[in-house]
Amino acid sequence: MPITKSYRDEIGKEREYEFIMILKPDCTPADIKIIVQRMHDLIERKNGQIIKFEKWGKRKLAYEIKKNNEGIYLYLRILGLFDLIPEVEKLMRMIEKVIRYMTIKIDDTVDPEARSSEFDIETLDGNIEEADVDELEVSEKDGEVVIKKVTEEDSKETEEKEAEEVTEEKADSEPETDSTETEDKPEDTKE
Amino acid sequence: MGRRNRRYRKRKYCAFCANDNLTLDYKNPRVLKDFITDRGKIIPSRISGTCSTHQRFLTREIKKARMVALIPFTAKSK
Repeated sequence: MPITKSYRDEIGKEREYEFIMILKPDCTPADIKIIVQRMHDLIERKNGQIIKFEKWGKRKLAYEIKKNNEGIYLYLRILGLFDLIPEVEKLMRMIEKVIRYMTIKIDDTVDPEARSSEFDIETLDGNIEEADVDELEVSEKDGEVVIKKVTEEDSKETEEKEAEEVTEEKADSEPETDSTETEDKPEDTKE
Repeated sequence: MGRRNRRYRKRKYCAFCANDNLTLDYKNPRVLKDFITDRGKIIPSRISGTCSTHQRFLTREIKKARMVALIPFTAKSK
């Protein structure tokens, strides 16, 4: 007999999931659209909802996955019940363009009516920005996690800032090195 | 006796306790990269100075980030 209810879930509450998938780098915008469409249809069928959809763009992988050194990252936030995720993961295994996926449960007591969806399948375009995203930067704003893409120009600026900080630190650490010579100073004995 | 000869070292502190803007998240490989070695190993709190609470979160986030290839499991051997 199939399980119809998870006793851990409160009635009227849904779970919120983060879902990341990595696609093959040679995916066309049409491919991406088809994959998201299939996923959207499945989630609709299971009474779930996509509340956020983001394209992180083409990114270099930290290690080789299925002979690919690059991948297109897609990030979704899904609301749904416990039986949704096995179905979604099954679909991901069937699509050959998907080289890696990961689901993470963020919260299990979300009121589905209180959360509005920013995602609309009609307006979706599968275009991936040409510029490869170097790094991602995540910051928290009013409890919401904001993901910012850092382009090469930005990273140069931060590197400069970091370099300045390093020089300042060096200036600070100078007395430290001196202390090795004067070991018997009473200050040095304190921890 | 032994204490007197000990060299003065700057006290280590937990980067996440000190800086609220630093978001500990697996989607943030820039931050996580500071807490792994060149070979991809997680740096122990004994060395990095991270407090035990944050070290626990950090380990979890690093392992998630590895799964989606944002940071490496190991460095490539050439």
